[in-house]
Amino acid sequence: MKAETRKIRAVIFLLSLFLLVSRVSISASPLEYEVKAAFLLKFVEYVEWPDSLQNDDLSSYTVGIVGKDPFGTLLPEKIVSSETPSKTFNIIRVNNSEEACNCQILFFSNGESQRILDKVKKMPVLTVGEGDIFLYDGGVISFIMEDNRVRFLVSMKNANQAGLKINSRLLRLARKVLN
Amino acid sequence: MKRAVFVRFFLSFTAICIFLLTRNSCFASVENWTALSLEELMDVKVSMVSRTPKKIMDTPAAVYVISSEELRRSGATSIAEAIRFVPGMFVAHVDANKWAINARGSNNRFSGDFLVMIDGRTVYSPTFSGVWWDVQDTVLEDIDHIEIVRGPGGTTWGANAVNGVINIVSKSAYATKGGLLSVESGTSDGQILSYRQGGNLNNNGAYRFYVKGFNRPDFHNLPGEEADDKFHQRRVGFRADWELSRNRSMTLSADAYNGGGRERNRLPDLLDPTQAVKTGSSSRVSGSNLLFSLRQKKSSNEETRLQIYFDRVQRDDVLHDVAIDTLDLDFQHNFVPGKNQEMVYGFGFRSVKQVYGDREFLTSSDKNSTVNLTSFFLQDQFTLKPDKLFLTIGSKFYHHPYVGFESQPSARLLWLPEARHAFWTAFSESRRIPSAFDRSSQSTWEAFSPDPVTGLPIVVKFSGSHDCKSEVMKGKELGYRFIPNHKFSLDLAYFEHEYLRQIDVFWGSPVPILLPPAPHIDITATFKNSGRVIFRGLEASLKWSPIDSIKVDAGFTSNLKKEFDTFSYGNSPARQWFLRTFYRFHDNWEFNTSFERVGACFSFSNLAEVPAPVEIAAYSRLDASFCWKPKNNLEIMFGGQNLLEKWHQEFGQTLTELPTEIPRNYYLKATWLFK
Repeated sequence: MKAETRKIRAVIFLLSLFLLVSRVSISASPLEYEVKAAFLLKFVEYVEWPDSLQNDDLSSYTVGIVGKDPFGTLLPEKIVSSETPSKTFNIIRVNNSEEACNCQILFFSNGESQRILDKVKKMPVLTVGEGDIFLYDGGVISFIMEDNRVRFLVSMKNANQAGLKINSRLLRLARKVLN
Repeated sequence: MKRAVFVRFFLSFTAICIFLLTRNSCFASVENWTALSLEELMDVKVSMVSRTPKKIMDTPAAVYVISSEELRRSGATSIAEAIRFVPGMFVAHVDANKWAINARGSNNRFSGDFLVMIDGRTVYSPTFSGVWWDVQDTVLEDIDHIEIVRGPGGTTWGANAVNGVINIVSKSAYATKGGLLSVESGTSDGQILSYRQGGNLNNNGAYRFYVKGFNRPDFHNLPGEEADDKFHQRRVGFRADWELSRNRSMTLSADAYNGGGRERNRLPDLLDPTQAVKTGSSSRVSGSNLLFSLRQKKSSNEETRLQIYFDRVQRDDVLHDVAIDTLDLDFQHNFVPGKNQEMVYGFGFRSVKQVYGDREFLTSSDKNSTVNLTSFFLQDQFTLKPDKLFLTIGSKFYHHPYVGFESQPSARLLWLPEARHAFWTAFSESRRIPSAFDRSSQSTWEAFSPDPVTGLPIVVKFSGSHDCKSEVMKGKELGYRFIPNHKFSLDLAYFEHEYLRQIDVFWGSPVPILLPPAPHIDITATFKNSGRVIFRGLEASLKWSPIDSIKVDAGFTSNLKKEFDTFSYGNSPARQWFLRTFYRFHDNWEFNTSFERVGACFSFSNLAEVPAPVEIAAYSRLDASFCWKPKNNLEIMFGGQNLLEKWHQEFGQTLTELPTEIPRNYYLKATWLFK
């Protein structure tokens, strides 16, 4: 019996060792935040920023993450899209409103930093958050979950306030558009 | 021996399967998804698992969450069985209708140190301190998740959350629109029938109502005993939710149940105390509750919640004639008072009316009493270093007529050196308020063989005492989490719980009663705070999902007693571990297995004439099930529980109630969803 127990322990040990060294990251069914990250990068195709901002580089965007970062390695510091012409996304973690003002897109994870949102909501920044409350707090686009699918809401009022033009296709796909 | 070989085979097989399936792995990337159009992206079905680990990552406590999906796959037929495969939890099935459940420390049917809440309603009984697990039930498909917090939770949850809290959270009525019919039949679990119907209400509301009934046959007898523990219950309930405005919501829910069963007790014959009599008797249980809650979300980080409930519990068996009415009012407010702070405070008022009738072996000196508990708590989380270091301090303050004013402070520190690693430590003090049993019971259920000097039998009278104070527990905890991505998580927790002022018995001097018909010696044992015990242990949880169709879930628990100078009725195994696998194939098939090894523990003999601690042997348990979804709205599950043995014993005698053996169970379950 002792020998058996030892063998079982050995197997468990090997199994745990294996777990630790193996690359534990394959994608079959995506995670909520993989899809949200994709949406975040897709939105730039459907939003027009005021001309003054797009004079130097039309294809480079700074995406700021405010508060706790739910994306982790999904959004590395720099992403260059594979299409032509390619777009470059610089992803930064934002801690204060100065950093926030330099972004074209700001993502607020659930319930984070009303302070920063208040600072940027009248600036040409696409603010993206989670839950319908986010739009009432001043955000432009908000993700909601419906039947395990990622959907989004758009506030035209807040988009106008930020001086952003939202493409009608995006508005058509939005679950709800608040005026 | 054969079993051990099987276990080894089982583990190796799992390891090989996982290895083969993960060899062709590639890293996930957001690029895979940006290639899709917006419309396609909107149609991608995502798994929601990310939410929980993220939330758990930031919790400076030993938390484990059972999702509704895990609950479904487990094939569990009761809430008690659903928490069997949780690291750190001791779940022992005593007989067909009784469970002993606890974490950290000694386990017993009346483990007074564990608080259990269903949708914010406490189901902890103030009679014996503990939970009547047999009457905690609902349509399991309507449970959203079960959150298990091990370790002292007194600061926010209040008294009696000494070893932990279980929160059973049911789905909102918005999530249960439509019908559900579930029929199950098992060789030893009997028949279970659940029906639920939900839909829309006027004014943007939603409702559901349910009916559930089950009938469980006798389990298997221990050698030389009889199994007489069958059990049935019927239950109805409803829940309605309203979104009153964009940030205000309201819930109204109610349940009512009644049922009954059989049990066997070992009781002394007071006319001839040398003889213990084992008798079968019937029990009747019933209860109802009505709960109302109102939540207001003022901004993304400010929320208030008001909750009122009424709860009635009645129980009538050989030891109990109990009726308890509880009225509870609870208010909670969380907000951000300033930079780097998150605060939550709350008020509570609870009025408990307890009515006890006399039984031959158990009487109460407080037959009719009302106890009012008022409480307040405050907890503040300070961000010492943004995204890195958080300190949470707080305390519960309450007034209870049994113990006066008391507080339950705690301090917790969370350190996130980087996003994937979390270390936490906590120092807390929690208390258990003496139960009605500790204070005012008079029981004569223990009689011993003749005293060698006088030749007279000894009858022990246990007596509650109004001098009993709260039991105190000082807990130190240390934890580490590693969650590199949503596919892997490792969670370790070490604890040292020092239990002080444990309620123990104080033996009085023997009094010879020489009058006929039965001359004997009376010894009165009075409850008194005196004991001190230290438990130390380690709890480990590992979850891994190499690909979406495979999930592996393992847990290990050690729970070692450092000092033992107190008398305790129950005990828990020093070590236990489990391994579960979930495998989905051909899109609509699933194969699930759960293996559990539980170490030996001590309990009371139910066979010997003189009660003495006996060892309950270690046991292994294997459950397996196939699940087939022929249609989107139909699921058929076939499975077996306790496959390794025909039956095994999991626990010993509790008070006077005799255990039975838990038999193997084959079951077939069909769940049908409809409009």
